[in-house]
Amino acid sequence: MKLRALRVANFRRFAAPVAVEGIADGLNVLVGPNEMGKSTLFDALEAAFLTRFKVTGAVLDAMRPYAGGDPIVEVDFEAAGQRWRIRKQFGRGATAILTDIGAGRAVARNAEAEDLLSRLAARGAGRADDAAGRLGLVWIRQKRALLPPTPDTDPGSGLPKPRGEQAVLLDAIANEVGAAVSGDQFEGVRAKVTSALNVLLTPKRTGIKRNGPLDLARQARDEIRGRLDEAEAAASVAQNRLDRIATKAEELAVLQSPEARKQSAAHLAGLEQRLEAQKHVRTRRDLQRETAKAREAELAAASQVMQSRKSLLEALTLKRQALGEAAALADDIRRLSEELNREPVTPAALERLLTLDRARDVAAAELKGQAAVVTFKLAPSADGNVTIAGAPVPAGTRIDVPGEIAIDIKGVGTIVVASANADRGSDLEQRRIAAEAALKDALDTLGVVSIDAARERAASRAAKVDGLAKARARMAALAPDGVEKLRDEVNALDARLGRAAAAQPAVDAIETLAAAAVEARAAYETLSSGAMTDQAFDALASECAALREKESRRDAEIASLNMVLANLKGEQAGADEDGKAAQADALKGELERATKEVQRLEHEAQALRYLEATLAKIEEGARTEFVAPLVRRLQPYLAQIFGDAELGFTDGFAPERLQRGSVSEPVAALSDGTREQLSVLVRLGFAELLASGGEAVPLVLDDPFVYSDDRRLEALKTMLARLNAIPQTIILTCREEAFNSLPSHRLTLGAWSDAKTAS
Amino acid sequence: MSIRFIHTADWQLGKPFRQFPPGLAGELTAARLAVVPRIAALARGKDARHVLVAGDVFDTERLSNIDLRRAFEHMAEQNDIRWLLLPGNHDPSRIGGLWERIARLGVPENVTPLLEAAPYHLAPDAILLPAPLTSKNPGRDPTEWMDTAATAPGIARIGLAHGSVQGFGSEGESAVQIARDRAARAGLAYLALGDWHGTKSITGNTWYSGTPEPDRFPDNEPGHVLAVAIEGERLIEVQKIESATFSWSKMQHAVRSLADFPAIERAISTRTTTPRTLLLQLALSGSLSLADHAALDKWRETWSGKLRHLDIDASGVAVEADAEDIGNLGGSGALADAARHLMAIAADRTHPEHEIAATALVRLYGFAAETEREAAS
Repeated sequence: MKLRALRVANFRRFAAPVAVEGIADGLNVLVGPNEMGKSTLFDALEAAFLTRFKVTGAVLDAMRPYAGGDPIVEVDFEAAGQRWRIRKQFGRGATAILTDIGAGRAVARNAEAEDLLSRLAARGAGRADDAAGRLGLVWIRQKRALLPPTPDTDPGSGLPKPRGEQAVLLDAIANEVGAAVSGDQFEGVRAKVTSALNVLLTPKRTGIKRNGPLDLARQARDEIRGRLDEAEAAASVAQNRLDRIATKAEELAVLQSPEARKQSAAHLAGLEQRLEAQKHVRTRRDLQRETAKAREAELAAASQVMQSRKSLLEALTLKRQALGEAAALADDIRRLSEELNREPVTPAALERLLTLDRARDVAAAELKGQAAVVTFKLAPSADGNVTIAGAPVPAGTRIDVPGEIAIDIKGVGTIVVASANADRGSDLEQRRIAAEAALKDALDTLGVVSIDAARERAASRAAKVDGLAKARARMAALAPDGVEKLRDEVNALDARLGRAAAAQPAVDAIETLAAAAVEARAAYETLSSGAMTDQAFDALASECAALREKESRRDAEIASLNMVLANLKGEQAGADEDGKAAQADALKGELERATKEVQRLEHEAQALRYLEATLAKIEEGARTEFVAPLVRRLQPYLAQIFGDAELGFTDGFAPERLQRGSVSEPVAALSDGTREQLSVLVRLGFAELLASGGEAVPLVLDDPFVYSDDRRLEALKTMLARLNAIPQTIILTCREEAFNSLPSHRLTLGAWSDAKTAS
Repeated sequence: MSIRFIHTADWQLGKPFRQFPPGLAGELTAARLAVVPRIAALARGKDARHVLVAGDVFDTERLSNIDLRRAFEHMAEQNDIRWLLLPGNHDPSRIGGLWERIARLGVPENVTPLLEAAPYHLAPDAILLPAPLTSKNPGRDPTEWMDTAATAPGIARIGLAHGSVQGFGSEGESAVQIARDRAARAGLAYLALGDWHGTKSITGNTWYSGTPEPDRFPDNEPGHVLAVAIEGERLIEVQKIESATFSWSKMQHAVRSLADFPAIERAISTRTTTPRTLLLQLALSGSLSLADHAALDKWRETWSGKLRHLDIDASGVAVEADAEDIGNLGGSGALADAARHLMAIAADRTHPEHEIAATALVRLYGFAAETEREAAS
């Protein structure tokens, strides 16, 4: 498609009719200052191709001039090898007329005109609803270049849009990679999956669509299940009632039949006979039990007698031993007592001796302290010449002199030596002699020669005291009441034993008693085994009693059972009429069917979901592959502007990273100018893709290089001048200077002189 | 002297068949009731005036009064026939139960419910010894009393009972056991049995008539009544006569391709001469290409129209996308990729979603074909 003219009247700022005529092939530039209305022209161009002539509301209001009036847009274009004119009037009297300029006649009007227009605009894509997507990709509004192609989802609902710019781009790329058929088929299949699923599930697939087939099938199934539960409950009640009727009827039949009456009587008689027999058996058993107990008691008594004599004998033996020992002990005690009585060296006597001994020692010591000391240092020649009281004094003698002493020295005379206090010395001497005498006297009295001898005697006496105490203690244990008493006891036991021996039963008599006891017990056991347990006997007795009671109440019971049965049968007849239970089988079948249907639909929904997910996954993979043709298209443009550079894309064809040499930068981080340039280059790539895949669409750029510096702008212009792959480009710009040097067709905005006539 | 009678059983009147679509369910229920006049006509054709129904006359004890009235009305209309009805395990004669209700509703003059194990004079020289069931499982052989039932000499003794014959197998549906040699032990000229839905001879004079109108898929020759002739005390003839409106058939076939379907069609034609009265349960196994799967759907539609009911279980048929299928999906395109992906999962029997994937694959192919047809038109 190529544009040839654009005419506008009553469109926003253009209340007066204006026209851009003579749009040429290749590069066209419309230069105009800000406020001239370039963007309005752009909007008018879009309105001609994409806005429904019957549009109302905000969209229409936005197109109207400030002064009011109905907007008119007219575009001449070439497509499918022919020249066409689309003329749209919006608002009151809205019309759309498509004219074949060559033939000079209107070929379609209104909706049909718009439909045909879409087909012409989308030629090559094969789908009329692609027009918006195709034009959207390459008609770039001011600053819009910075945005990626609009995605195929509706930002409001989050739902996929049938045909957006991405879909168109994908198709164009699919064309390129030779998957044209499958691309279309793919979309077709996906649309069918979606619509099939939309019937079953909610749009977001998170739930079951209300009142859709699956929902209805589930409702039906649940409703049937509820009814079946009711029917089965009723059936179960009926079943129980029938069982009760059967039981009660059987009881009644038994009660009523004469045969049963006879049987019952016979049964009772039998029971009573058994009861009587048991009573007899039980009495005999009880008697025998007493007998057995008596025999066992006799045996026990006899055994006890034997046992007691044996104990007596043992006691007697022990007592006799004790008696022997006690007699010997009595002798010992007597002897020891006598010996002790004869011994004067008692501990007190010994103590007194020791006191006297100490007194003598004290007296001797005192005497010694009082004495003068005479030491004889004699010459050898003096031997025998020195005497005291006639006794010679050997050399070296030393003597104490408590009083006076006369030392005779032959040939010399006598030397009397006296202590300082001779009187006291003499006194002490006397006391010492007295002490000595007292001690001697004491020793003599005791009959011992020395203190040591006295000690020995005292120790010997203590041992005897000890022996006596032990003997007495043993005696107290053996014969607390004396030996004679013990002897009496022995004699008494002897006598008892004699008597007991007389009364002792014979061993064989005991054996006889034992045999009798065993026999009596065995007889009891035999009777017991033939008798009922108490519990069984009581049960039998109760049964008898109950049966007797029942027999006596038979007629009353028959009447009562008849009443119960009549009631139950009445209830049953009512239930039969109600018929709810009768539906159970039918409902079971229905439930089976309904459940199958739910399962089928659930499986279907699952399968379709699975298919939907699989297609999405496949497409995802394809999308990645699909970036390649775009990158290839873009590469020469990138090289012209950025040198050695490569641009990476997101899945949605938004530029993502720019790689320059070894530096990779996210596009979002680049300067406004660079981003703007990149985006325009991407659009060039899109335009080339569309051109190669079908009939080309003109590239329209509204103020594309607002942020570009002069150097870049030069490079861009050079590139635009060589845009061979894109048949028609229209640039709307305010930068007159900048584009002056660009070899291009210059467009001008003039008056639309025949606007009225045309309308 | 001789006597001729019709032996039938297991009518199960009132069976609802609601597992089928409502229209078919109605027809099947109606077909059961329609056996009454049909059997009457067959009896007349055989010069018989007695029809012995060996139990399970009614499908359930809980049958509604209106269904009961309708059944007896059908029998009353055939007023030259005596209908002798034996309670079976589906309709036992319980106190306060179905047969008491029937008595309350009123039994037509030409209908005799046999509610007691007591001799019934069928004809001057023939005595019927019925063994009615008084519960679903009485826990005893109900025919035992026949051994000691006294009858005058020279009179034909005919037994009528409902239950499984011991040694014949547990295929019968009731838990009631009947001695295999009862006819010999009780000196019966003929023992007419019910419970087993197919026609079957146990001994020379002990027979299951089977149900006159089939009611399920197992193939055991249902759909007949027996015309019995007794001369003196001796059984002369037992003749099997077709009585069914519908035939039910179960088939299993392994398929590899569309080429296998004519064989199935031939198999169907051997089952019935009137396909429109055939209910067919067809279990398929093997594998089919996507194209053949689509063709199977068409075949199903075609034959669903030809037969009274067609239930195809194709869950055993593996889906295999062959080269041609892949070609139809664009060969190397995205759809072919999707098909290959789904096929890999469908083929992996251990994959939890292989059945879903198989269905998804079939749908993919179907939608693709539809898309292509739309594009072409």
